[in-house]
Formats: sequence, structure tokens, C-alpha cells
Amino acid sequence: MMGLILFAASGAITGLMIGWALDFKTKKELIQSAVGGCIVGIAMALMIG
Amino acid sequence: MEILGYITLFIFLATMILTLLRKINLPVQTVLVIVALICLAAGAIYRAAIGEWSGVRSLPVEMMGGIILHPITALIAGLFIAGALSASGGFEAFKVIILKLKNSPIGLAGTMVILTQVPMLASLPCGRIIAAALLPLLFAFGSDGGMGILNRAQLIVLIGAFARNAFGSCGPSPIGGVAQIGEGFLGSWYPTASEGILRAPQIIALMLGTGVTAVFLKFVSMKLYPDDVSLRDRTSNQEMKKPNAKPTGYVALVIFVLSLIVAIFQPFGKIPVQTVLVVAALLIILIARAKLDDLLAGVILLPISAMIAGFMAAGALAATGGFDALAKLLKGLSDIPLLGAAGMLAVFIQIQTMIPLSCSRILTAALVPVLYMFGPGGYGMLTWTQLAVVMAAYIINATTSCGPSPLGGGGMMGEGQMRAETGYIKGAYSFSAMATMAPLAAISMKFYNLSKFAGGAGETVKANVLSLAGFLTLIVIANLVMVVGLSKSLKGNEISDHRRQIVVFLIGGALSGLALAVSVYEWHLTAGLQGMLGGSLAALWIAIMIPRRLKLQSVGSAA
Repeated sequence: MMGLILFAASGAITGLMIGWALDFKTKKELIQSAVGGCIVGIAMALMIG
Repeated sequence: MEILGYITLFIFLATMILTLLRKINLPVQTVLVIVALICLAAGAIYRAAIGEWSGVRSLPVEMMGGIILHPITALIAGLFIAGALSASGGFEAFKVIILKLKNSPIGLAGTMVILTQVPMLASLPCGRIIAAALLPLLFAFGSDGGMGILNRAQLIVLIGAFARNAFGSCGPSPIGGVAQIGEGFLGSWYPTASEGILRAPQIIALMLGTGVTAVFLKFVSMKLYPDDVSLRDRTSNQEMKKPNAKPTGYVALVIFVLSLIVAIFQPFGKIPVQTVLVVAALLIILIARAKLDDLLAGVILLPISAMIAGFMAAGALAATGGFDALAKLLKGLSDIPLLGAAGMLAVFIQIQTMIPLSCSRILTAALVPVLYMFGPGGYGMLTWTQLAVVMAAYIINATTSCGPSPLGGGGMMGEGQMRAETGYIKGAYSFSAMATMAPLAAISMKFYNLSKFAGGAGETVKANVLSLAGFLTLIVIANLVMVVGLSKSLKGNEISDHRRQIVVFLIGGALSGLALAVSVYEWHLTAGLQGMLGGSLAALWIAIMIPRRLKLQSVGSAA
């Protein structure tokens, strides 16, 4: 569980950074970026088990 | 043999530095092959002089033994399937899907974030496979590519971040990834190391490093090199093409995705990724009626030939004792009181970003045994736990080093797609590998991952979530402050801007060295200072190698 939270949080921060750099400025877009990153983080956590 | 090793190491390093600084204006393949031949000649003369005639005859074989076929064939397979996807309309189908995802709850922003990290999700043994297949698709999102859903600046960030993610994804790959070299050595103490002791730290570091790369590209690279990307923004009267996918395109895409799943999860047992991709390409040819010419059209010779030439040079160095000489030099560095072991290790973990070659495997295969020698199995400078922490930091830095390499490195594929001059992405990629990824991998290993792997005597290390979260947040914030601070300080003057960049790199390197020292030696003042000094020295080297200006600018200013 700790791993899942760690990866999800890291993914969300990454998503925010990428979204910000891609000029997505509205609150909705930034949340979408964080969610996108979170999905990647969770997928990676599940893949490494 | 010892003197010969120092001579060939000097020849190699001097030539590489002169090439990186563009003092030698020859194709990298030519330079590397010449270096390999000079090293071989030096080795032959030396062995003949000491009467070792059989050794003279075996030199070419020893050099050819340095050529690692896996990444070469993996790259060719990736380029094949890219050609097949392009010819069968697979990319068109992908474009249609992306346009549909734009209207889903995660929107364009979430879709782009996921797309950027597809290489890590695929975790193939060579990032070039997925990069070769998908980079042309990313280019299509801009106005030059016809879709026009992203502007020029967005496209530069998207392609740059995607390529950063790709050229680091070979590290955590469970199917022949670079980190498996390190896991093999750590297996001497951690019985389950081969299950992926280095994977979690690599993934955390690569994810966050991709984010920092994107921010660096946006705020620093675009300001430093404003005219060195020939991508254009959409003009008001420009008509955008709507992608129109044929059914065969969707089928090709499904085959490609299935082949990735088979390659990653290996449901049919151990099958080389190359075999899976070639079978997939053949299926696409049969179903979509693509021609063999279409597949061959996807094969780009530059990265393939550069990689082979790199392996030849490394093989010649190994045969003549160049890497043994490097190990001795590094050990000698730790005897310098000012640097000590902590400072030497801070330099060591950055060594592949300092000498970025076309494929990280070239040096990793030679340097992981050197690092192992610092542990209990060799000089005894590090415990097993400390060795695992240093290995995590070293491996992520190593696997990402083909990204900023101007010697046929993976990043050149990204630069090609963004129509940028060689060296455009070097600063962003080097900074994230040095200041973000290496320290993040070290702290993730120290405070989290080692708790999941018991040592030889059944010893375990307790996870420390608070320390991990604290360090992780601190490192990311420090990186963002440095990047944004650098961006704000840039004035458009080539010389002063380059100096400011060097200062920021020095700070980043020092913090990286400090984080490594804390991860290895915990709170120890001398080790911390030594780590900072070592990190700064490595950073100075890395920063000086970043081009002050790119070719287009110099041509422009000359005109």
C-alpha cells in the first residue's frame, strides 16, 4: 500500500510539472494533468508488484 | 599493460571531449572507429614489444567481443515496426484515438501526460524501440505535422519530455534492461535482487525527472536557444488535416499494443523482444498489405552505426586495459583528503552523464564491476546497503546518459523530430539526470526499497516514509526553484547566460552530492561536504560541455 501511495503521489507531481510546462494553465487542466500522472504512477506500482 | 591502459584511456577521453566540444568535426562514427583502431594499434605495439604475439592476434577478437548485439537488434526491430505502423495507417488510427481522448474526462492535458510516459510504461530494453515508433506521431500533433492540436512551444516540451522518458526507460526494463547488470552484482548479497531491486528507485526517479526535464525545456532551453528549432506555429489561414484512419490501421495498432504486452509480460515464456516485434511487423505486413520497402524505410542508419562504433571503441579500451586504468584512477581519487570516498562516489555516479555515449550499456558493462569493487566484495569501502544505494544512483544516471549524447545518442532522435540543432536538449537532459534523478534514486533505495529486499544474513532495513517524503519533496522543490530562478536570470547574452547556467548546475551538483552522502553515510558533516565538492566537480564538467550556442545561431550571427 505504501508503494502504491508513493508511486501515485510521485506520478501526480510529475503530471503537474509536465502539465505546467505544456502551458496547461486552468485549474481543470492542471487537475487533469495530475490525474494523468497519477494513472501512470499507479500503473507502474501495479507492474512492479 | 597498466601503462597501455592509461594511454588508451587518455586517447579515448581526449578524443571524446574534443568531439563533444566540436573541436573534431568528423562524424562520431568515424571518430569512434579511428579511436578503436588507434587503441588496437597501441595494444598491438605494446604486446609485440613484450613478446606477447598470441595477444596481438587476439586483439581484434577482444574488441569485437565488446559489441553488444541486444540494443542494436532491438533498435532495428523498433524501426521496422515503426515503418510497418506508418505504412499500414497505424499512426493515423492513433491520432484518431488521441483526438477522442481529448474529449474524455482526462482531457488533452491528462492524455499528453500519459503519452509522455508511455516509454516507461512499456519499459522495453531499449528506449529507441518505442521512440522510433512513436516520435513521428508526436510530431504530427503540431501544425507542421498536420493536426495542429499543440503549438510550437508545447510540441518542443512534449517531444523533449517523451524522449527523456524513453531514453531512461531501458533502466527499469524487466526484459534485458540496463539495471539488470547492477542487479546481477547486488545478487551476491540480496538473494532476490534479480526480481528488480533497482526497479522502483529507477521508476520514481525517471517519472519525476521527466517532469523536471519538461520544466527545464520550457523555462530554460527555449530561452537559451530561441531560434534553434525550426518548428512553426499554426498560421491563421492554415487548414489542419483531420486524421482519417483505415480499418487496417486500427488492426496494426492492436497488433503493436499486443506485441508490447507480450514483450513486457511474457505470457508465452521468455521470448526476445526483437522476435516479438519482428513477428508483429510481419503480421502487419500480411494484414495491412504493407511492402517490405515500407519497413526498410523506417530504418535510420545514424543511431545504429553510432552505437556499433561506440561498442567497438569500448571493446578496444577493454582489451587494452583502459577500464582497469579508470578504476584505479577513481580509487586514487578517494585517497585525496578533500574528496574522500563520499566525493569520489559523487563523481562516480555522474560519470556517464559526464561522458555521454551513444548507448549507456557501453560504459555500464565496464563500470558496474568497478563500482562492485568498492563494496565488501572488493576494497571494502562500502557496506552492502551503501553499495545498493550508490548502485541505484549510478544506474539511473547511466541509463539516461544516451539522451544527452551528441555522439549518436537517443536524444538526437528527439531533436530530429523537433527540427532542432544537435545539443538543444543536452542541458535539460543532463540537469535532470544529475540533479533530480541520481539523488532521487539514492533516497528511494535508502528509505523505501531496501525494506523490501532482505540481505544475505536475512537482515532487513526499515522503511522510513517520512524521510522519503521529506527528501523527495525537498529535491523536487529545489530543482524547480533552480530552473525557474535560472530562467528569470537569463538576459539573452550568450556568455553571461552560459555562466549563470554553470552556477545553477554547480548548485544542483552540490545538492545531488549532498543527497548521495546523506543516503550513504547519513548525517556526517565531513562526508556531506566531500559529497558536495565531488558533486560540484562533476557538475562543472557537465555544465561546460553544454553548448553555449547551437549551429543555426552561429550561422545566423555570422551572416
